[in-house]
Order: sequence, then C-alpha cells, then structure tokens
Amino acid sequence: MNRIEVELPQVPLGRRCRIVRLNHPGAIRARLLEIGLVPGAELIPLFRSWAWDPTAYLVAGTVIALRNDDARQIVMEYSEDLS
Amino acid sequence: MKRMTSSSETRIALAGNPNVGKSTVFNALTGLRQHTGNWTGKTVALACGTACVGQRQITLVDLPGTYSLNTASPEEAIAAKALLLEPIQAIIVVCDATALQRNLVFLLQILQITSSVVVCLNLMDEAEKKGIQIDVQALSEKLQVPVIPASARQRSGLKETLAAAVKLADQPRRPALRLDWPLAMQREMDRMEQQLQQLNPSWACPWIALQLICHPESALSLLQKTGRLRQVDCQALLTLARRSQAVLEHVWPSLWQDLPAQRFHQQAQKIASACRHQDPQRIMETDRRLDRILLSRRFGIPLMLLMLGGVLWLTLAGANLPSQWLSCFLFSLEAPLAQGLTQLGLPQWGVRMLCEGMYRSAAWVVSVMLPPMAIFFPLFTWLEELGVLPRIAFNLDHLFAKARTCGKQALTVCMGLGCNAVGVTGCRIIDSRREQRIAILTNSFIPCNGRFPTLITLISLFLAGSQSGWMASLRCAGLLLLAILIALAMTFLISRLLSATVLKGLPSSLTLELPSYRPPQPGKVLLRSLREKTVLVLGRAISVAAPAGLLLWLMANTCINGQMPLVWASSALDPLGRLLGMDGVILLAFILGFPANEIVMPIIIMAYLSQGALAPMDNLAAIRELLSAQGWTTLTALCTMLFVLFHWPCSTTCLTIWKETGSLRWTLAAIALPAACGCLCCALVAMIGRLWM
Repeated sequence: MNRIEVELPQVPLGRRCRIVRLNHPGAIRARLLEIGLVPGAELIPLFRSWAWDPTAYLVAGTVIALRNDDARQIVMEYSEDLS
Repeated sequence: MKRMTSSSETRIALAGNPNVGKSTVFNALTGLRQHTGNWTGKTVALACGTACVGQRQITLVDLPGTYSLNTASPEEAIAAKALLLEPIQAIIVVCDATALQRNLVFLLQILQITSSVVVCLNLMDEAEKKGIQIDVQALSEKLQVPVIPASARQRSGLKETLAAAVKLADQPRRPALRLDWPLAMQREMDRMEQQLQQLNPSWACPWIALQLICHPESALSLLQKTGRLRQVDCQALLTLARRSQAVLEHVWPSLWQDLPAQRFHQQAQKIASACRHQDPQRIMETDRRLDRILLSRRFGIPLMLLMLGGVLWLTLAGANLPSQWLSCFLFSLEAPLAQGLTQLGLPQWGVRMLCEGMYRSAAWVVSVMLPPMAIFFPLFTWLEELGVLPRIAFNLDHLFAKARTCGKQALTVCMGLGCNAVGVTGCRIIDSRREQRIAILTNSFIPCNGRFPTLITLISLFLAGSQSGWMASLRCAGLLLLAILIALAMTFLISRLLSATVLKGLPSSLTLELPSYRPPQPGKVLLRSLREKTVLVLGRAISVAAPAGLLLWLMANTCINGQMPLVWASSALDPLGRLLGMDGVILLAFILGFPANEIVMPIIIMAYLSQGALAPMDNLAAIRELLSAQGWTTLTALCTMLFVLFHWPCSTTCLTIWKETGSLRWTLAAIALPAACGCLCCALVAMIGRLWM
C-alpha cells in the first residue's frame, strides 16, 4: 500500500483521505478543530466551485466549504490503491 | 446544589449546534416567534422565554448555536458563560439526528460540565427519510442521560423533553460524565479539579479544568466575571495551569493542544457509529444529487440567476392584479371616511389633512407593497428553509474572496434583498470584525423589497416597451434582475475598495457549512412569513408613511411668502438634481422618502400634479404622459433608477446600523458611502448621456 502525503486542495474529488496535521496558527486552528477537522479524521472532497475555490468537503457527516488558502495548511494522507 | 422548590424560579438552558432547529424548539415551547431558517447562525444573542408545565412557570434560556464552548468567537463565549455561570438547573441539548456525530461533540463537551442534561434528538423525521436509524436506547445508555426523539416542526417529542428537563431540574445537579483521557492528561485535569473544588465546589468539573489547562487566560477571565475569584487564587490557578502545560508539552511536544478536540471527535465518532445505522450509499444521496446541479461549475451561477429571476417574475406577474384591486378598494373607502369625519364635526381642512394626507399615503403604501411582499417573502423563506442560501454563498464566495471579504457576506446580501435592516442584523454571522463592517457598510447597495415598486414602475414605463401581458412582466423581471446584478457588482467593487483603504486587511478564514436540504412545508412557510415578515414590514411602512403623508400634505397645502414649501424646496434642489440627471422634485422625493423608500414615486407624481394630495397610480399610460410633460426622458429614468439603487439607507436601516456598530461614525459612513456612490454614478451617466444624445 502506497501512502501519499499532500496538501488538502491537491486531493482529487471523491477520494477518501485522512488528516495528518494542521499547520494553522491559533484562532483558525481552533475553529477548524471544533468543526471536526482533527488529526486522524476522515474527509472526502466533494465539490469545487466554478472558480476552483472554495471546495466543499464531507467531514464528520457534514459538508463544510473551505477556501483553498486555508485548506493548503492541512496535510492529508491517502493511499493510491484505495478509493 | 440545593433542591429547588416549585415556587422558586426554574431555569433551563437550550443549547445546541447551529442550525439544528433550536429556535424552532424554543418557539414551540415558549410560543415566542424567533425567526428560524436553514442556515448556520440564525440565533446570535441570548433569548429568554417562559414555558408552562402544569401550573409551573419555567424560564427557558436560548443560547446561541455553537460548535463548541471554548473559542474566541463572541457567541461561543456567550454560550459558555451562560452555561457555566448562570443559575441553570438543567440543560436541554438539541441535536440534529441527521448529523449525529458532529452534534455529539458539543454534547460531550456539555456533559463535561454536568450531566443534568436532556438530549432532544430533533429532526427524527428527516433522519428517517434519509435512511438513518438511531438506537435511542443505546445512545441514552452510552451518554447516561435521557434521550428523547423529537421533531420540532411536527411538534412531537417536545413536551416530553421539557418534562424530562423539569424532572432533572428538581434533582440535585448531576456530576459530569467521565471520558477516557490519556493518563497524563487525566492526571493534570484531576489536579486542577481538586484545586477548583477548594475554591468553589460548583466549578469543579472536568470542562473548567480542561479550559484552564489549555486556555488559562480566557478561562480565568470567565471565572473572574463571577466576582468570587480572589487575585491570590487566580494566581495560584495560573501557576498550576502553566505547570500542567509544561508537563503535557513534555509528553506530547506541540501536539497536546489539539488533544482535547481530537478526543471529543473520536469519542463522538465511536458513539455515533455504535448507535446509528445507516445505508452509506443512500445517506445524503439526494443532497449530493441536488448539490451536483446547484453547485455545478457550469450551471451553478446561471441556475442561481434563473432562480432569482423566477422569484422576481412571479412577484411581478402575481402582484399586478391584486395591487390594482387593492388600490381601487382602498381609495373607494376614502369618500365614506371623509364623510364620517365631517359628521364627527371636524373642520374641512382637518378632514382633508387626514384623508388626503395620511389615509391616502398609507393606502398607497399598502396597495403597492402588500401584494409583492405577500409573494416575495414566502418564496424567499421557502428558499431559505430549503437550504439554498448557503449554496449561493458557496457559488459567490470566490468573488467575495477577490474583494477580500467573507463569503458569508453573500447570505447578508440575500437578506438585504428582503429588507436591508434585516441584512445588517444578519452581518453578525461574520466573525471577522473588519469583514463584518464591510458587509454592514455595503448592505444598502442591494435594493430591498421596498425599492422594487419604484424600480418596477420606472422599468415598465421607460424601458420595457409598451406591450402588456406575460411577455412584458418577463422583460420587466429581466431588467429588474439586471438592476440587482449592477447593485451586486457595485457591492463587490466597494467592498474591494474598502478592503484596500479604510478597512485594510486580508480575508480571514472561512468555514461555510452546507446543511442538508430540508423540504419546506409550503403552508407553514406562507403563514409564518406573512405573520413574521409581511405584517411587520408593512406595519413599519404604514407607521412611517402616514406621518410622512401628513408632512407632505402640509408642505403642499400651506403657503409661506406666497409659495408652497414643496415648490420652494424642489426649486432649491433643482440645480443639484439637474447635475445628477434628475430634477429638484425627484431629489426632494428621495429626501422625503427617507422614512420609507416606497413613497418616493408617489411623492414625485404628487409634486408634479401639484394637486396637494397623492394620486392613485393605477394608470401607467397617464403617469408616463405626466412624466414626459415634465421633461422626463429615458436618461432621467435611468438616473433615477441608479439613484434608487444607490442612495442613503432608509431610516430603519440607519437605526439598525447604529445599533449594530454602536458608533455614530460608522453609521454616518454607511449613509455617506452609498449616497456619494449614487451621486457619482448619476452625474457620470447624465454627462455621458447628454453628450451622446
């Protein structure tokens, strides 16, 4: 199994992935943590808006849209052979 | 905690995540009518209401919806403070059965304060439709608190919830639920709890201990607000917290601060997956299918425009006839009214003042405003209930990001279409202060419902051509949509300018929740929007239109130095009006229309007719003739329409801005900004138009 570590906006749509860590500072980090973007949580990118930004993600059973600038600070891992 | 007798006040808090139907539960239990809608952040302040259980009066405290209890966001501070410090005997936590896992996080945090909690598992009907089954019994056992399945919109399960909460409130406060924490964490929390126990037994709960360890400054300032924390104890707690932080930092370098959030989410997931049975394929399938269309990269924006255009068209086409009927009916009542007043012994001028001044302008406002509002507001509420608004925000976010503001501003823009005052209040959902100010300052750029009639009249008189029927209303709706798009473009432009100058800064982070769609109940939506919005807005419009009508009548029927004040004022304003491509009368009408934008058009017509009273506007051709005779051209109409879009906000909106910002300076800025913008646009268009023609 081949594990890949990438920034969140680079995860292809529909690909199930897992949060490795958040690189945000203080307040933003707290907000993201509380909506369920915690290390270890599973996440699926669902939709990109017409301008590629923001992107909607399925996390903890809800759909949350994040701007790519914020999402870039989230490091994800997914395996090539899993869909 | 001592036992509460039935005579003393019982206080029960209502808490929950945003958008779980908390306001609906609160309204159903108290009979109050707080506004509800399918998007995050509707309730933004603490509300109290009274519910009755038998003979007993229970005070319900509705907390703002929050995802957690511990961050810097002001609403969460309100919620946390209320739960920790107010004398509350029990807590009802409203949970969304369709998003159990996320709701459990918040619930687990509350259970770290006390277990005197009843879980109201709301939206069970929606969950069932989505193929989610929840084992209520198992959930209750895992959490060790009563869990009551409910559906606030069907009003089921609410009485049971309240009864269970009252039962808990009568018992001594129950201790917090114990969660499994990693050993080092647990040890530090225990140490902190022991210290708290010595200071004040009611503070001794894992939640406060955790907060003290992770965010000592904010937690201590919260405790200090109770006024029972001495400086010495404060210092002792701080030292203890610092020690714990050092220990934890040693065990989990730079990771321990994420540990609490991580733990709560893991626990929530564990409990949720144990108590919930769902078909992973079926769940959210309808939602995704709808989203695939509404958020589509190709069709998303055109669809939104189509939707808005459709709403406008329905409003236009549907309101036309009832408006005429209403106008005929109300104006036919005037003669009997005058007769009645004369018989009561009022002098002739008094009767005329009341009838031609007050009654007519009120009748005008009702007949022009009521039918479009009665159509527009329910349609809008319907879209709101359905969950379309956050999707619009999603589609527009990129533009707002380019303007360096928050994507949630799109929500306030949508609300501004209904009423700018409501839009300004809605700006509270924006976390960043800078972005909130921008949203407030630019909200009145979006034409509200009250400005539609003037726009519609001008469009159908000068731009839409002479044919009538469905086609005409379709064209009219199209042009109105164009006007709104111009206003939207201006909003982006001004927001960007503000971000670059006065309110400098980079966009803050955005977390926009896209809730699952909820099929609205057409009947209830109609009733509620009529009751909450239409009647309210109409009442406000009448209450300003009637005195304004009186003032107008006086200005048109008295003489100072042989000249009517109306004529005098309009000729004084004429040079400025001409510069802006309009004339003095139009400008005066906008000034007199400050209390309610709806009466701008009637004032213009009245001043031109100089007949001293408002004329019924049921004949468009006659009005066109009148305006043309006064020198109106398409250019005049265009400039007037631009000025309708961009001028000072109405009195209610100004008042709301003042209340929301708490500053006179910002209120004046919010008045000056659109006014300057409108003057500039009009002058420019007038200049170009004159050169061209």
